[in-house]
Amino acid sequence: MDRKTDYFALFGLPRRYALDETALNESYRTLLARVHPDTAVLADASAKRKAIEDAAYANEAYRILKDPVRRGDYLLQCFDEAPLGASDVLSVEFLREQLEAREAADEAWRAGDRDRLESLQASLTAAQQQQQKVLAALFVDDTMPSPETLAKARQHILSLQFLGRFADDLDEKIDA
Amino acid sequence: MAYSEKVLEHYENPRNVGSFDKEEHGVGTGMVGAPACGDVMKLQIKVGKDGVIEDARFKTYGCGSAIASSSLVTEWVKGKTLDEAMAIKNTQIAEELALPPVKIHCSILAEDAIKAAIADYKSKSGVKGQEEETAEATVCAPRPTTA
Repeated sequence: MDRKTDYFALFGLPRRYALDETALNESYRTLLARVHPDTAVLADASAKRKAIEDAAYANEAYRILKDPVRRGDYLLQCFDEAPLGASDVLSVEFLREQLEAREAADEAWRAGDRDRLESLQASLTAAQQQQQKVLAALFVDDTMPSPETLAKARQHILSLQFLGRFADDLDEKIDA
Repeated sequence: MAYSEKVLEHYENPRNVGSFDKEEHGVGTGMVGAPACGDVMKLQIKVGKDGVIEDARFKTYGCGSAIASSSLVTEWVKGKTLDEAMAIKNTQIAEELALPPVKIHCSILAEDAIKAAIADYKSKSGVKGQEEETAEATVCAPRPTTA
């Protein structure tokens, strides 16, 4: 296994945002069966080490592609963009909306209004799906996107990351 | 992770929570957020005719350190001129609250928020001054369990 292969190529997937999860899972299983360190038990030390490193590489690749935020971040880097980091800024409009959503969730939680919390959770899930839909339309294939497209994609990935944290928080409130 | 006494004190009794009408004369609003931890912070100042900050409000959704940082900043800016408020550094906030290294980004967020509020006030009131950069959000470590 060539560990310089990009993660999409490693699993024989097209380099785009939209993900065929079934294909990824199948390809991951096939690959792991081939590189699993156990299959190298009888081989020499260097073959064994290579198997361990290959398996680690495949695991990391799988985790990144499977995660909607990390997959986006990885795609940015595939197109020579900096990874998400400290200098990234969310738009004021997005933050304003999010502050309102947080306020609504807080009020519902204080009031013990489970229905309201669940309805907020449903809109949040819809918002996450919407962000992913936009990203799928921005990263369609191997063609180098324009700088504007990349900047737009970055904002959507950041928004998705932010929404994910809010979703964790809502889950906690609903389970509490 | 253990919070310092001062963080807990601000977390349990946050000062100046709330909002001003952002269209009101003399009000400047700063909105900043950290995508990686989902924190969002709104900090507002009310500036008097003499250019002194008369009052401040904040709303923060985030961890205890983010809430304490913004609460502290609203206390600090009252009675300060815009230039004095601009000079507040995240290191002072972090020191006052005894923030551990993994929580420094919360104090940076609060510094960004006050700078953004001042920039908003200046752009609304047409005060001439050096161009303020839009406050930057920061990455942040995974959420601690605050419960």
